Amino acid sequence: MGKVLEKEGLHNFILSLQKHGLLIAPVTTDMTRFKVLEAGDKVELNNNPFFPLKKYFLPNEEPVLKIKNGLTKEPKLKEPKKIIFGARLCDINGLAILDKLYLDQRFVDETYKKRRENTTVIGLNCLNPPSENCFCGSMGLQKEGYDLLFHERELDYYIDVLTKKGAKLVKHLRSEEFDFPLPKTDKKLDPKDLWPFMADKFWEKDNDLCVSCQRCTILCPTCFCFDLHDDVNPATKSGDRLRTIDSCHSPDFTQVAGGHVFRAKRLQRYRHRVMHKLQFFKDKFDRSMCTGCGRCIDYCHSKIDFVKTINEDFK
Amino acid sequence: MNNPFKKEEKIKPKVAIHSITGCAGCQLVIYFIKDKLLELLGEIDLVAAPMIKGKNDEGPYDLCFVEGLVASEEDLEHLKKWREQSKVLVAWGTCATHGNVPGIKIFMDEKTVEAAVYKNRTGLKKGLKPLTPTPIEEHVKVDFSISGCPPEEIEFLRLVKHLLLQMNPVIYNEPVCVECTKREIKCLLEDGKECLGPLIRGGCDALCPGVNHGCTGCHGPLESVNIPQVMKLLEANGISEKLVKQRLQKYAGLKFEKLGVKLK
Repeated sequence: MGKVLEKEGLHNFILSLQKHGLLIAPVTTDMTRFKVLEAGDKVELNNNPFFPLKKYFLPNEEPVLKIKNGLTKEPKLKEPKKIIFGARLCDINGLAILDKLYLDQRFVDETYKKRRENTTVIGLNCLNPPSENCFCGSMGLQKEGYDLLFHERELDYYIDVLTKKGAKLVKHLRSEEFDFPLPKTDKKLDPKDLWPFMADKFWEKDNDLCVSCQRCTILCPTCFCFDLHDDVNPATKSGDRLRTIDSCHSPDFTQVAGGHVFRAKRLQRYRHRVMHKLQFFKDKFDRSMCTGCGRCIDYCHSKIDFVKTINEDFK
Repeated sequence: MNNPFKKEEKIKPKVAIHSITGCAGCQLVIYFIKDKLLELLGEIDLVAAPMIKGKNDEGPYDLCFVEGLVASEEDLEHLKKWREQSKVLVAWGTCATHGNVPGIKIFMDEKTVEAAVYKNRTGLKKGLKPLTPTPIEEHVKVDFSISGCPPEEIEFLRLVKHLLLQMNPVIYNEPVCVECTKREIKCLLEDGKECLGPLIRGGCDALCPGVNHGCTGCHGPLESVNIPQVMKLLEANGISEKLVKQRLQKYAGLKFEKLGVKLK
């Protein structure tokens, strides 16, 4: 069961969300970014933000352990409640994929879990793909991961309600039953088993263009790999164990004790990223890790299009 | 390498901060750390720091930071002496690690450059006889290299803390693009401007791109870079090959030559 909001009511609805927590939405300046909404900011409804939604759940750097006088304890998360409006289904499905890893029954990540509980995610369905490189239409996105999702219709917004947390925010609105359509894209990735192409020469074509800048992994809504560093003051024996976002494009990523680097060549690292997204994760979790947001193509310095390569060259 | 800072020793490690030819800016970074440096001073014995101390001891040192590059016979003598006296020697700053601006001389006629400064070379003290300017690792073994013009204070603190805690020091080794993207800065390269970000070691938190100025490469290049492709991207942005090569010469010409770029 969903809800309906008249179009002219959208602006006031968004502002009313501020009562319930820190309101975050996409805002366009020199480019579109998720940010805390301030007076004068206009919510961007057309572009997908530069940095994906994951930044509110997996920050670039955070302590996983507090060290005081040589003793360790888990850090307490002190963050206000957040409401994020205007996330796209690709980013939201990205969260659902991260949930599989961080909320796995055996190894629950407490900070991630608290952030998930503490945050209300309100999605915005794409009628037209925000970028020509969007290919989510071929990635099997599902209606999951959000609390509410807005779908624009001719006269009003249909609001899909998934959770109690979301339902509270729209309980005053009129109810309706409607099966909203998932986004469609012109660009599509052909579903292929990539294992037979591991040694294909076409990896080299794309790899020659790769400058190892790591933007594709940093901006990916599902890339979660991290590194751990200790920042401890030797005088006071106090400090933090920090988790920082890492990238498989870095040669240091596969360095082990003793100094050996497993993927020393750029080709191995480039191929690993694509294979992990489209094949390794699928083998394990029965679902592609890629949600087709297209950021890794949009923001690649060399505009490497692995979708095109896989579709056209891997035969 | 083995960490020479033995835990059981009650004696504080002896640290030296020395300088050869350079602008002294890299040393200043260390002294400007102030409060956090004072915390560390309780854990180390700063036996030699000629810039801020009157009495400076000769080695042996447990840890010696060397700023600047070898540009005279006197520099080379000092450097060799400090190497012999030090358990751990750190090349501190881009002059020490890559040659930096003084190293541009290599790509010019050295005699002409010298003549512009020393009209009458016969009057020079013997030790000041100019040598071809070279980073210190061309002459002695360097245990850790931290580049930057100047390097960041956090890199000094991290290295000293890691050594004091018997850890294997971690030196930041990712391109400028990493911190730039994490800070959500609009890409200058994508905007058709000049930026060396993908080639250059970060650690600066994308200082220059953050104020809308392309990276000029003051930290020098990473080992694993795709230089031909970055040069193509810059050329596509209307930056001539000649200008790009001048940029590469500015801070780390020698290193870029070793990575396969013809600069001479």
